[in-house]
Amino acid sequence: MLCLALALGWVAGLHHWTHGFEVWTFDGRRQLQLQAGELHAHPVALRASDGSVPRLWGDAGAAPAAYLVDFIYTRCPSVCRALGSEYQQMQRELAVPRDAQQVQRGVYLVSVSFDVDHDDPVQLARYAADMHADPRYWTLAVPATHDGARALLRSLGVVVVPDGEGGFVHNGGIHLLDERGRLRGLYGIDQWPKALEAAQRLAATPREDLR
Amino acid sequence: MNRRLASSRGAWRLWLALLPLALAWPALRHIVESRMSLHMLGEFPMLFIAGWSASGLCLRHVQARRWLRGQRLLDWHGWTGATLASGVALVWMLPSALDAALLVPSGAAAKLASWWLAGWLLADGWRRMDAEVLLFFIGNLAWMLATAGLLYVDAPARLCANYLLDDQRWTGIGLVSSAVALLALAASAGVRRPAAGNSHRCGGNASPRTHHATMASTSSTSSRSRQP
Repeated sequence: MLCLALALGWVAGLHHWTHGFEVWTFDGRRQLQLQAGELHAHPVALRASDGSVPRLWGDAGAAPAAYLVDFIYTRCPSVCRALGSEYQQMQRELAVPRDAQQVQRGVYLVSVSFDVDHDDPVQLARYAADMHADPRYWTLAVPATHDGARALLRSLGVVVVPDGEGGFVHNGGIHLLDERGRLRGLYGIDQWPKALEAAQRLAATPREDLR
Repeated sequence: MNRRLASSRGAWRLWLALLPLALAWPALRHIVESRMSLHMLGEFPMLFIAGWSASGLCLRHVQARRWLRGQRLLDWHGWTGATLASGVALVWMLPSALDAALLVPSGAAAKLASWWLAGWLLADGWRRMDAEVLLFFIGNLAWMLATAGLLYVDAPARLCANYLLDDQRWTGIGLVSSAVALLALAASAGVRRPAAGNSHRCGGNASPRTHHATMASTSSTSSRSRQP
């Protein structure tokens, strides 16, 4: 009897944990947390590539805004460079003047380095120059402290692991945040047009509490 | 000679039972858990063996007789232990559970406790299982190990946020190898198992001390007991 109860308990527990035997990975669970509105970017102090201290998401009284955030490290030879190229394309799209119906304001590209030891504002400025980042559209920044970096990554469910060759591997992609830092969308690198479209829609949406 | 052997066996059991305490050293724990292969193929069996050894150490004392009687009442013919161990093995093969064990303190605690408890229960329970149940349990475990292993080998992307793809593939190969080894071990034990008429009776009426003394005097696979 106890054995049967235990077996049923395992099945019920597994059903609950995997959301009906559908979700088996951390990233799958992260998508569910996103849909439930449970992921908020921790507001951290950042240092930008121009030496300024940008204040991005987390301000409850801010105007509607959409941040397309990716996580990088400037020594990265592969994926981050690819992501940089996608950001260059998004920057070009944002710079194109559109008709009055289409809102371009309020959409910001943000690349946050998690390599706090190596990526100071000088390194970020070099990287920004390599990527032809226009500071009007694209901010490159690094958390001021290790604790800040950890808190930010953790709050968004981003896990960074050393790749054994001096670099890092991490999950994630392009994170769409609103002005309060709520995660509103997650997109793969190749889904940047979709991410940009969603950001433009989000920035154009009046805030619920001001309606 | 026998006393010296028993003493040496007791010392080994004590070492194995205390081995998980090494994980309290953060640097060592980081080394073990930073690689999927070490985590799944090293730490999990170590926790299981620790529970198994602790059970062997504790339950042979006379004071543990009442505890053992209660445990055997709950673990009828070893079925509860087998169900628990199967569930534990299944859960900790899930990528999301592995990540939770690394990222959430309660996940880590659940992992430690569940593997240890599975070892504790099976140490006493497996001898009381019917041959068919034991075979089903081992076969099921081997099937789960092989299935999870093949999935890890074949997956084109990382399934765990905390581990690299190469590590994941090596772990998959290790899990499949473990399944084969488990089946080979079971087959070899089955071949060496004496005829049913020679089996010892070590049921609930036997004291824990008698029970373990009997177990120690027989091959690990030769004796079978039945709960009256």
